[in-house]
Parts: sequence; structure tokens; C-alpha cells
Amino acid sequence: MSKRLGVGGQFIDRSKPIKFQFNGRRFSGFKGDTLASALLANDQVLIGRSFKYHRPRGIVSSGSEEPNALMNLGENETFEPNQRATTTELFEGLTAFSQNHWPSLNFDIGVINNYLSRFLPAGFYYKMFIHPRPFWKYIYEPFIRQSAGLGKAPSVKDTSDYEHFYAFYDLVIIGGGISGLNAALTAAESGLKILIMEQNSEWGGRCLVDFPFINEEPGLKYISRILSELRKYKNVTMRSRMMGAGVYDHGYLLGYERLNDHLSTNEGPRHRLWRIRAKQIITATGAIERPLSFPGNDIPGIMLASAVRDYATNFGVAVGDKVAIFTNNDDAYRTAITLHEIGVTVPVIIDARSSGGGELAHHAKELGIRVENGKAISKVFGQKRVKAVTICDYEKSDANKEKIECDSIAMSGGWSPVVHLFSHCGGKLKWDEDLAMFRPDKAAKPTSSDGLPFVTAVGSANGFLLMNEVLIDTLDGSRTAIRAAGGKINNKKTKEFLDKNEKAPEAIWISPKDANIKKRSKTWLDFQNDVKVSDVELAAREGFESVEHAKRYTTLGMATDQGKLSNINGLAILSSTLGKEIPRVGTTTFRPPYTPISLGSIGGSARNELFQPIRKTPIHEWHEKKGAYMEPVGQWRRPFCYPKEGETHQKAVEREINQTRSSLGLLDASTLGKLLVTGPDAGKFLDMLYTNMMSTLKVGKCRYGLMCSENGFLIDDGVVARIDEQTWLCHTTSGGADRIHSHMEEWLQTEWWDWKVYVANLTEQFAQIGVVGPNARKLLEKIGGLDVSKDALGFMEWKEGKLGKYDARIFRISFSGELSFEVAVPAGQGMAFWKELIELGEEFGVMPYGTEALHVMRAEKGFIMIGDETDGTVIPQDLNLTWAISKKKEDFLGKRAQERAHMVDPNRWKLVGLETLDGSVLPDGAYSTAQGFNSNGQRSTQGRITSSYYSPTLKRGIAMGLILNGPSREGEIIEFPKIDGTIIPAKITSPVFYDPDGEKQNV
Amino acid sequence: MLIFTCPYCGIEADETELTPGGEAHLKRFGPGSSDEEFEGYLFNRENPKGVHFERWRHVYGCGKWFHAARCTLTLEVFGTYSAQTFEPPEEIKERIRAKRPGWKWRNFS
Amino acid sequence: MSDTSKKEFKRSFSGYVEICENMPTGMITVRGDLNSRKLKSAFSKVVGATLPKERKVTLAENSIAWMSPDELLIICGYDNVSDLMKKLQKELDDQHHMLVNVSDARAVFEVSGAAMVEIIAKLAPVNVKTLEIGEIRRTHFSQVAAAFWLTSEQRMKLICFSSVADYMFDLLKTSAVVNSKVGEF
Repeated sequence: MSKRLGVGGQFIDRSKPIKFQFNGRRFSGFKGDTLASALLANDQVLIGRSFKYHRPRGIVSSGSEEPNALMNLGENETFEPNQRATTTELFEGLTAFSQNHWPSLNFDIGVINNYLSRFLPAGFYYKMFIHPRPFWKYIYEPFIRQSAGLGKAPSVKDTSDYEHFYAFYDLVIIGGGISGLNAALTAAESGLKILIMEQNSEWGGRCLVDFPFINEEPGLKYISRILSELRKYKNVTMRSRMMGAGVYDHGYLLGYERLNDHLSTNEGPRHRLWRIRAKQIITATGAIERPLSFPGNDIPGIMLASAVRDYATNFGVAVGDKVAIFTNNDDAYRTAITLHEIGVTVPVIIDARSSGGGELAHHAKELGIRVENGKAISKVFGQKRVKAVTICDYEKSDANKEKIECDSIAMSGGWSPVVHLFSHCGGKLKWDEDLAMFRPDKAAKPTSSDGLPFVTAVGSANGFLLMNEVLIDTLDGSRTAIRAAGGKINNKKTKEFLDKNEKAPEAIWISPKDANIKKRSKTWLDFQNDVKVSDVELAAREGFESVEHAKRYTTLGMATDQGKLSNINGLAILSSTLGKEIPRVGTTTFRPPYTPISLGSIGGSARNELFQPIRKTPIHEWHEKKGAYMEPVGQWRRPFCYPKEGETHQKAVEREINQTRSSLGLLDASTLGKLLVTGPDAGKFLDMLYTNMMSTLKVGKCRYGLMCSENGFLIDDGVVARIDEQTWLCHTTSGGADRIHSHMEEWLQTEWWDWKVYVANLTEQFAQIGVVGPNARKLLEKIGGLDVSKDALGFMEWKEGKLGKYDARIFRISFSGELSFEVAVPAGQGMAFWKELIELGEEFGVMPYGTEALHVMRAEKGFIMIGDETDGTVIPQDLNLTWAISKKKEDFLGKRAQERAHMVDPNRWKLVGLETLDGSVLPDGAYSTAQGFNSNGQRSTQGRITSSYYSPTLKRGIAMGLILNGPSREGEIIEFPKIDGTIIPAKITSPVFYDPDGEKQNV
Repeated sequence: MLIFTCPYCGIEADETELTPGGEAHLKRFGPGSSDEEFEGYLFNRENPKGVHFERWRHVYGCGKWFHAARCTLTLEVFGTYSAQTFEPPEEIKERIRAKRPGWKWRNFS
Repeated sequence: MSDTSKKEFKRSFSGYVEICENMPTGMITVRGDLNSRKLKSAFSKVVGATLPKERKVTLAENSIAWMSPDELLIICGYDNVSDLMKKLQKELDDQHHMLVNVSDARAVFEVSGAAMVEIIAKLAPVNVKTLEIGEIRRTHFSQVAAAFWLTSEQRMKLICFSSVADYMFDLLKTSAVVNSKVGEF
């Protein structure tokens, strides 16, 4: 059994017990434990089920590479699936549930897949569920969705806070092990601004476990001495519990800091995403031990050798009573020695190398541990826990077989440098045949904006595994990075470290070497995704020769651990099956993040009311208080309508229209874009921008104008007012103000930069209120101060002055067809002005109206709306707006494009009005069918609806649409099929349904 | 996440402060131009694997458009310069020549 | 015009730094040739301050901020705007320029406290360590455009569009809640 020992455990504080729950059972651990170490201390070896075959799974590692120990953590608003127990720090009240089983962890019905495994090889789903086609949607997919998946999706909203933090450093060191800390120390006096981050809570990395002494100094003391030395430097920032998540272009780096995952409280941000710019980055990310591939290597109790000694040394936990060791290198002997020292039996060390190990092996033998060289494991007994192993000759599986009892196996297949962060931004790797690893290629580092390298891997991350080499390489690499960041170099040397004499590892990719297919189908490569040696071999045989294809076909390395343990082993199997060398097969691409980061941290503070900016007009608060139903218009929120109690939106809109048409309505039009264009060349400029002539507009007058892109398509429209000799005020659509402002700046800055024109966006400087209806003039006269009579302020004119106590500019323009004034006042006066209009308008039954009433009224008048009648493919000619296109001008934006053959095609769809015969409302966007079929066998069409409303004025449905040869077909009846199969016949009419002679607005 | 130094305000601007604007040094063709000229102006663009000249606007900063010479493969930036010019400055072309001997882009080299 | 004389600020929040939104401030956008003598003399005569160098703010009773190579922003008392504009207009009459009142289109915030710069670092892609007092930086705070400058080591002023004043206030508030201090500066 696995248990807590009376001795050891440098991370834990035995005086501080912590209670937690796993699958509803109460357990206890100590402060400093991880969830994994605490579970092992309580003999909880079975911690989950595998993804495909639902096989029992145990903890394999002690770090972020863990494939198996994934938990549903927390409850309700703190619930989070797929959390690694090995990196989850224990806190009081922690609750965890294991994943991927039903009904229980101990008895999982899905395990039936395990017995069917020979029928579920790689690519099974692709092959099986393709026929018959309809089965996928209705049978296969729903079933697979039921049974697939690891953790559960949260059902309650996360209440934690998250934030971002922009930070800039000359040098960032990722990894706080011996290499990273020494790099920081080397750089501390370079004059550079430095950040060093460590993903775990404890600094020191493997040094704390693997090197009891660094040159006569205990490892723990050595690390704390460096730490306290580093803390003296103001230019060095140190953050633990912060992972280097990704390295990107031009020195961009994401640091993922976990602030209170280890606490019972939820105060302050939970995660902080550091958005870092670094001149230079050092990756001191160490190395990860590889599993060995042998039959039954996924049974709980089989762990990485380094993890076994981590649990013993850091947490005082023995993972078993009898731990067999299986290795191809010297490092695993450290585990044997550690276990021996704490009184755990090591029945055998199985070393696949026929010549055995070096100094450490010798030491183990001296301690009396049985060492078997040239041997391998050919079978593991046990289901939910290892019971025994059969060992045999590595070369020959039926030679010298022996069953040895044990309840744990510590395996070591050598080490793989953590090259992820080096590779994220283009760093290349090379294969080291001697150490059987991919390591960073010094000559192919990622490069930055200056074309020079900006990431340097040091120490184990650079492929150096012996301590002395690590220290030398760290010094060397650090100096390279410091120099590149512009820092000073000192001449300090490292003290030589006398490593144990280690013998080279021997790459063994399958054990025993002659394992038959039965054994290879029980030999796991990817524990989380259930990919076995036989699956990769099958993929290779079926032609998935590229490593990227084989990965996707087998799902090797595609689980949440992204193949940190499995990739190299899988690759080696692929290359040996293909008969190619490993470097020729290559690796899959390493992509950020290094381990999954929370979505919350990516969003940062952008949630709830900060999810996106909401723009508010000066009168917004009034609308909200009156219970207006708001709709988004770009980032603005505008009242759609103002429903009264018990009133439907439809009824509210009708009421607002009727009241406006019969008496008086008010519209908050503040969102309308207002661009001031001024300068000696402003007229010339606007003539280029608008299709019609603006330079000839008289001061005091207004003109409706159209704007097109160089493609000829309509992009905006609005009323332009000439303010003075050199100044025009251009109104744009509500959504278009910023876009058209940018459009103007772009042409002024990049094409006509010698023209003397300045543009300012004054949209928010003014509140603009539409005073609309037969009584509009009376209301303004009631406020008084400005003569707004027909003669003093004609249609399409403007004037300014004091209107009551307000600084007003009044435009007599109409988008509704009624007598209408748009009054602009400084935004700060907007609310008071609006309230006064409401108050004084009471005698006329004044009613505020929303965007829907605005839309219906403009459609009744046949006015186009950018975004309804236009969609980026419509030219003004399509909308019968040729009257607004100057024929005198030699040039304007879009003119040349509108001469293109397709634009002058007489068969373009053109704007008409449509009246349904039964008075109903046509569906917006509906197409009218024509005779025959197109080349795709689809029914031919002859036009589509662009706007469609119920008109309370006409008491029937009205619509506008673009119809083939439309204007010449007035009176013709065409058909609009609906989705339900029925057909609505509609008559082609003029698009102006209401007051075609404009008598209403000209009073 | 690129960084460009805005030649108008001197800020080393994060990509999030900028808006991309496509290929630089386009010549506008208006009324009177041939179909081929107009097609080239509206639609045909360089798509090099290597040195490229492009437009960016420091939209969240000083608001000015500028040009950048950048390698599309390595993302190396050879320099940024005024958008109010018909050709990259000689010093930028010289820098590119030194780093990418034999480069050519439209009629610049 | 609302009576604003009694209140010193619109709203405020106390977190690990202090945040407040100021009462309306006078602001005039000036565009023109910043190197012209006429503009320089007009400013010293009318505004009473010298033109700021690139990316600087002349801090005075009427402050002048450099916004771009051809744009300045005069920051003055809300009620002084039309007077200043009239006088400047007169001085610059025969020169191509633009003068516009943008006072109502902007919101002004002040953030102060020992860790004030942390709030900037949480929201804007700006290296706060290299900022000088009186240096204006135009950028984005989270998702909206903003301009800010330090008025002292522990205080900054920030301008954004008035339509997003609520968003900005919430943004600053959220970043300043106690327990969220980074401890980096």
C-alpha cells in the first residue's frame, strides 16, 4: 500500500493537518501536500479511468506532465474539470471528484470497452461511423457525445475574478530550478530588469530531491541561499506559482499566475495573466522523465521513477511497500537508493542495459539491492493495483522468466528536455542520438523583430543532464542572453561540481525487444488517450506516415497533457515501424500554452458589465429609467421602443409611430455620427468622398449625400451641412461614425496628404434630438429664442443660436417624412434639454420613439438604410439614387468602379416597394423565385427583401426589395416562398408608400 | 503580437494599438484608367514569402498611418517610415540588402 | 448647464488606489502646423503656455497636451473654452488650422496612490517603468481608447470618450479592488 512515512517530507508541515474530500470521502493531509501526495498518503492509488477503454488509472508523475490524475475540483461556482492532482496544492476544504467513470470509480461500466479493445483500434471511429450517412447525426454522434469527455462542464457561473497585467523586462527567466536561479544570479548585476518565474510553489526544481548536496552544501540550503541573495536585488522580480505559458512573436510572453488556487478563500483575482514583453528569454524549464513501454505499463502503481522519489523526499510518502525499478539509465538508481534509505523494499532493479549502470548502480548494489542487467518486464499482474511482475531477458521474452512480487513499479526511460517554450516561436530542435532526446538547436533559436535570437534554453532544458554540465551551460547561456539584452557581463565562474560517474542510457522503445502483437497491444504510449504501441504501428501501416497525421489518427499526444510523456516514445515507434530514423520523422509542433490555462485568465477583467464597452448617450439614463427596451447598435445601446406596462413591443412601436405622425415624437439621435471637415481644400475633399457635389452647397444649407468605397459600393449616407466658407459638418450613420472618420483620415494621410483639410469626430460632443411630427414646430416655438418658421428655417436648412437656455444648432431635415427638426446641443446640456422637451410637449401628447419606429417610418417613406438596403455589394444605382450621383465631377471614390461591366449591367437587381396581396408582412431577407433552375440545380431567384415591416400608418405589411428589372415591373405580382413551404404573392410598387409628394415635411 | 515603432510619435507600439492596412505604395487609378490598371489597383496584391512593405495605422495612439518593411517569414522588421512617400527610404532598402541579398519587391530592390 | 460648482468630482472609489471621475473639464482640440511661429505665439499670448514637445504635456493653469504631430489638446476650465477659442481663432485666422470644443465629448479620471501605475499596467500595453511625469501616452485601456499622463509619481490623469465613462470607471474600479495588488512597482 502507499502511505505516509514517519520520516522525510521537506515540503510538508506535519503540525498543520488539512482536511479534504475525494469522491465524497473525507481524507486528511498536511500543509504543503499536493492533492496527489495526499491521496497517495491515504493509499488512494486508483484515481481515475482512461478515456477510451475506461481502464483503471493511477498517478504517474509528480508534476504538470501528469496524464492520469485529472480531477473535477471544487463545487458550484468554483467547480473546474480536468485539474491535475499533481499540481493542485492542498487546502482546507478542498473537494475533488475523479472523472470519466460511471457509476463509480471502482466499478465502471465503460470498462467493457477494455474487453472490446481489439475491436477498437486506432481510427475505429473514423472507419465505423461513416456509414450509413444519416446515422452519424442521429445515432452515432449523440451516443458518442454521451460517453466521451473527461471532466464535466461547469453548470454554474464562475464567480472568481481574473485580470491581466502588462509587464516589460529586459530578461525573463522561465523556471526556478537550479538552472533558472543561477541564470538569475548571473544576470542580477547586469543592470537589466529581470523576471524569474516558477510554475510550482517551491523554488529549486529537481535539485531539492536529486542532489542532497551541492558541493558540500545541502540542496535545500543551497537553493534558499540563492533565493535570499536574489531577493536583495531590486531589479529582479521573482514570482512562484507562475507558469511560462507561451512564447510569441517579438518577445511576447504569457505568464500564467495562480494566485489563490491554493487557498480556501476566493478574494482577489484567482488567476493573473501576465502579458510580458521581454528583450531576451531564458528557458530553464528542465526535463521530463519518460515512461518505459512494456506490457501492462498503465496499471495503477506504475509511476515515473523521479516521481516516486519526489513523493518520498518532498512529502514523506512511500508509493508502495515493495517498489520494483525498471530503467534504461543510471538516474533511476537514485530512486532505489532513496527508497532503501527510508525503509521501503526494492525487490529488484531491472536495468535493460546488458552492461548495467555506473557509480549509482554500484552504490545500489552495495546497499544490497538486487540488480538485474539486460532484463525487462514482460508482464504486469494486477488490475487496479500492481501485484507482481514477470521479468525476462530484454532481448528474448521467453528467456530467464521470473515472477517477482511488488505493489509498485518505478520506471525511467530517460529524460526529455522541456523544449516547448523554446519551440513555440520557431526554435528548431535536433536529435541527440547518445542521450536519445530532442534538444534545442543553438544555431536555430527563435528570432525577434531585429532578426536576432531572443530565446536561449539552458541546463536540462537545453539537454544537459549532469549537474556540472548544467551549471556550465547555464552560465554560458545566461551570458549570451544578458549580452543580447544589453546587460553587463561579470567574470564569475561556477564552482565545479563533481557528478557521479553515470553510464550512458540506452534507448529502448519497446520492452521486451521481441514483444509480440499481444504484448504490444497491452503496451501504452499515451495513458490519457489510450494509445498503444499497436495503434501507432497500425497507423503507420495504413499510410499515416507523417508524424502530424499519425498523431491525429491515433490521438497520440492530443489529450490535455499534450503528450508530454508520450510523444517521444510514440515517435520512436512510428519511426521504427516506418524504418526511418527519428530525426527524419520529426516531432509534432509544440503550441502554447504549455499546460492548459483557464479561460477566465484569458478573458481577464472582460466579463459581466466589462465584457465589452457599452456606449451610452447623454440621455441613456432617462431611457433606462423609463423602461425602454434597448438594442445594440454597434457598441451603443439605443431604445428599440418604450413599452408601457402590459404592452407588447409591436404595440409600443405602433403607438409611437401613430403619435409621431399625428402629433409629436422625440428621438434620441445622439449616436448619429458628426464629423467636422474644415480647411481650404475641404470642399474638394468632400467632392471626392461623396458621390454628389458638396463644394457647391451654400452656407446654411443641408444636402443628403452618399459615400462609396473604391469598389463602388455604398458604405454610408447622411446629411451634410455647410457651416462656413471652409467648414462642413458631415452626419454619418450611427454605426458608421468611427469607420467613416477613419476612412477620411486614411485618404487624407495616405493619398491626398498635400490637401489642406482637417477632420474632427464630434459625435459625442453633442446630444442630438429629433423633434418630429405636425406639432414639432409648436414645441420649439414654445421653448422659444429662435425663429423656426417655414420662412426663417426652410426644409434642408440649419441655423444656430440660443433655443431657450440651450446652445442649439437646428437642422430642418426629415427621416420620417414629417415636419422634423434635429436639434444638437452640447452633450452636457442634452439631458436637461430632453427633459424640457418632454415636459413642454405634454400638451401635444409627446412620445419618445425608438429605433424600430424610426425604421418603420423611414421605410414608409422609401428611405434606404445602410446595412438593410446595402450589404457591401450594392451600388447607389441599384437603389435608384442616380440623382445623388454627380455627372459633372471628373472623379470621386467609387466612380471608376461603377463603370465596370458588371456595375452597368442592365440586369442588376434594383430597389422597389412590395405590397403583399393579403396585407401580411413578408419575412425579412426572403428571396423571390423565378422560373427554372441555376447550374447548381437550385431554383432561380429574381430578387430579395431588404426591409420588411408592418406599417401602422397604412395598416398593412410593406417591404422594400432588390428585384430584377424591378422599377420597370411596377404592378407585377411576384412570389416569395416562406420556410414553411407556403408562398406569399406580392405586388411590385414604388418604394415610397407614404406621402410621395412630401407635403407633410414641407410645412 | 508584433511591435512597430510609430515613426510619427516614436512609440514602440504593441500590435493591439495598431490596425493593419494591407500593401503599401499602391498607385490609385481612377476614371479614365484601363480595366487592367484598375483591376491591378483594386485587387492584385503582392504575397511574398520574405520582405514585404505594408501599411499600419497607429489607431489607438497618434492616429497616423505609417509604412513598415517586414519579413513575412521571420517577422523581422527592417524599419518603419512615413506613409507620405512613394518609395521606401534608401536607408531601409540598404538594411534589407544587407540582410536579404538579392531581394526584390515590385520594382524595388 | 448643470450646476456643478458644489461637487468636486462626479464619483469616486477607494481601493488600493483612489479613483475619481472629475467634473466636466474644458478641452479644445487644435490641429495645425505645430512648427509655425504663428501658432507658437498665439499659444503663448492666448493660452499662456509654451507648446509641448513631442508626447509631452505642458502642465499649467491651461495645460497643453501633444496629441500627434499636427494636433494639440488644450485642457482648461470648462467655462473658459469659448473665450479661449475666440481669441485663438482671431490670432490664427489666416492660417490653415482647426479649433473645436470637445469638452463634452470627454470624461476625465484621476487615479492616485502609491501603486497607481499598477492600474495602468493592468489595463494598457504600456511600459509604465519608462514613463516620465508630464509625458502623455495615447493607447487603449482594455477595449477603449484613452490618453493619460502622470502628474506626479503617484497620480495620473486619464481622458476617454464620454460615452464609455461608465465602462472606464468600472474598469478602473475592478482593477483597484483590495487584494488584487501585484506588488511589482
